[in-house]
Amino acid sequence: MRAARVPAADDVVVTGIGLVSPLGASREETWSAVVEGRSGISRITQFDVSAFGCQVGGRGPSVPARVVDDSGAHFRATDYAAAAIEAALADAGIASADWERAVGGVVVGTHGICLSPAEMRAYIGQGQQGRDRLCRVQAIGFVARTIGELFGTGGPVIGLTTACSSGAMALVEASRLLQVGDASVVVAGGTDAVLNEVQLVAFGALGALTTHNSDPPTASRPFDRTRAGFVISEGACFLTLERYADASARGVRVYGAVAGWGARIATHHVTSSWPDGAIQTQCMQDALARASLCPADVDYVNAHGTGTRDNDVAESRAINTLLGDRASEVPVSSTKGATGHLIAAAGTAEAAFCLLAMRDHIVPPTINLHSPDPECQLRHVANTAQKAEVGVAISNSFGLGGSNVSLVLTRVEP
Amino acid sequence: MTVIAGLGDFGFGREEGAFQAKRYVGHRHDRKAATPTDYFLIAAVQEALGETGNTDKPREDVALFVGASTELAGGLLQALALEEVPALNADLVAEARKLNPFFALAALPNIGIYLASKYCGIAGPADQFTCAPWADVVALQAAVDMVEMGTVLYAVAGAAYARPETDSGAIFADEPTKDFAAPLDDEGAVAFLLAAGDGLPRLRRPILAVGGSRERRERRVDDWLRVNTGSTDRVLLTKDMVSFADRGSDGGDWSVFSLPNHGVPLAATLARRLASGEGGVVVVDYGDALAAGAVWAS
Repeated sequence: MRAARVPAADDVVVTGIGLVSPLGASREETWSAVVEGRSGISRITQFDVSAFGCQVGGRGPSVPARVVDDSGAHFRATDYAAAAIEAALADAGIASADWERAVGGVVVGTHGICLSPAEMRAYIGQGQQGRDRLCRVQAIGFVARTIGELFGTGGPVIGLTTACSSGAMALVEASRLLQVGDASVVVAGGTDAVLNEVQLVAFGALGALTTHNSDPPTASRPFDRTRAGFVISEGACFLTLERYADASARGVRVYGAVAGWGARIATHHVTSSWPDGAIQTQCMQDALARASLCPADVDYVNAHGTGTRDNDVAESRAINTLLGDRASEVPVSSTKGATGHLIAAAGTAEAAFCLLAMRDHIVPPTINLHSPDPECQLRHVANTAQKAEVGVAISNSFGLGGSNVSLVLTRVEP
Repeated sequence: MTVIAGLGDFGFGREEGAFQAKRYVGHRHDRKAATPTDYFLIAAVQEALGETGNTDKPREDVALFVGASTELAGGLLQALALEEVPALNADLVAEARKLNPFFALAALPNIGIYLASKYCGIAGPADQFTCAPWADVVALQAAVDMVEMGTVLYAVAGAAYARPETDSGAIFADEPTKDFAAPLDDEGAVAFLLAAGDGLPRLRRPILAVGGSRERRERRVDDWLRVNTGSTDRVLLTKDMVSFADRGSDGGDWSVFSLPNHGVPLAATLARRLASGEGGVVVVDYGDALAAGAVWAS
């Protein structure tokens, strides 16, 4: 393992993590389950799924309702985001009054409020007023705006969407805000709650979802020969990011640094990567270069690893190309086997898992990986977590629509 | 210094604009997913990049930052909420197969940057901001930062919007409210952040500029100010815009200009501001439909 680096004053570090997922309503609940190899996937019971190819999902936990519109409705995506942001700020030791005084930035990655047909009907049933409300809620900026109203302090409030890489892209944007001095502290991450008929049809139409319905906890099978697609999950993850000098001055614990990132859009196909994984390799190389590191420094890769047939192969090729001979040594896992695909929250949650792996000296497993695909030859951490010292980790987020982002997270000297 | 190296814009009104944009991009769109907004975006980005003379593809040193359109939501509303499609009352799965474009939008809200990158050969970082109505400003800010940090050589930034052709559009367009972050976004707006002058990369002396007929321009400015500030004094903007703009500036004194049309007047205005060494935000509203892109080169 490369020695933990001494950060520069302007390096962007993580001082708080807030996480809500099907595995729990808190960071530690989720992390424990991921490390222990438990699945958050179950059969969907909230609506009739008999007509759908995919009938399983990762329903988010119950959290307090925070954003309520004038008809009394509230939305899981904003509730999850609010819960995760509050947890991330508390974890960073930032009290409400301090946050109000800070030039705090908020960056939210999301698909937006994705209502079910029943929810839409309820709005439409309210007449023109209901339709107006529906328009407001469905507008793609709704989540960022409402979260901004809850947590905005006068600093930048940014909403973005790059599909499955939104959470990782939010961290890129947060780093930019801190580096150019637009904010002194930023909470950034992703949130989504899209487990409904519309999204099952949408992702199903793209051929992206699993059809392994008989045993839901085994439905998400990244890198396994029997994988059939990903499983939609719900949740949110937000990180508190600061410049190292500010975190150090506050004397707070630092999980690690967002030391580098690479982002490239690939337009080979709207839902498939280049088969050789070249763009993904370049993303990881860009991220390492920006962190002044090289492939030899990498201790762990948290793969995007959705469990879709083509993309797992392309990512495996990309990692092999990046690591060369070290590909047989560097542990790789996809935590989506346990969490399912948190969509816009995935990139942030998986960056958080890298930081927690550094903290606890353990690499989480890819569960449901019993027969690795020969085309996905990697040093898999299959089914059981492994003790390991992680100083440098790569977290990949390779989204539909070609939005590719790689992050490099590094441990820092206390 | 960061400069504007190219501009692209379309603002012909919905029908003509869509026709022109389709002609411009030569129908090389993904038929299953492209919307009028995407046509405008593609055409504007192509034009902006074309003006730079940089026609190499793929452009790994070019980034793309787009302020999102409400049409992403509007398309779904057309398909579902407003019952143009019987999906709410019939077999959802079967209907969805016929309606792949709308459902692709549901799964891929970033389809616009995918298509624009694909047909303009952009292979660098790409992001789509959704925080209407200031998403376009964020896009432009991100573009300037990326160029100034040396991440990319060029950054294309702007926004695109085409009004949905149904009642959903009418709702968006005619009844802006404070809750729905309206007129800038729903009327169709694009902001150009000028990073001009020596060592003046941040927002200063923002400008609000509005297109369309004189009557519509006046009404839109007044409506917009009234909705967002409660008065028609043309010196204030929304809380978010003001806080964003004032950051690090010497007071953020906003000015309001009306532009009688698009294209040449816009370019001339931008050029004048650049020449005078002043930076700012130019928000341009073309009315029914528009798209725009700008290129900065370090």
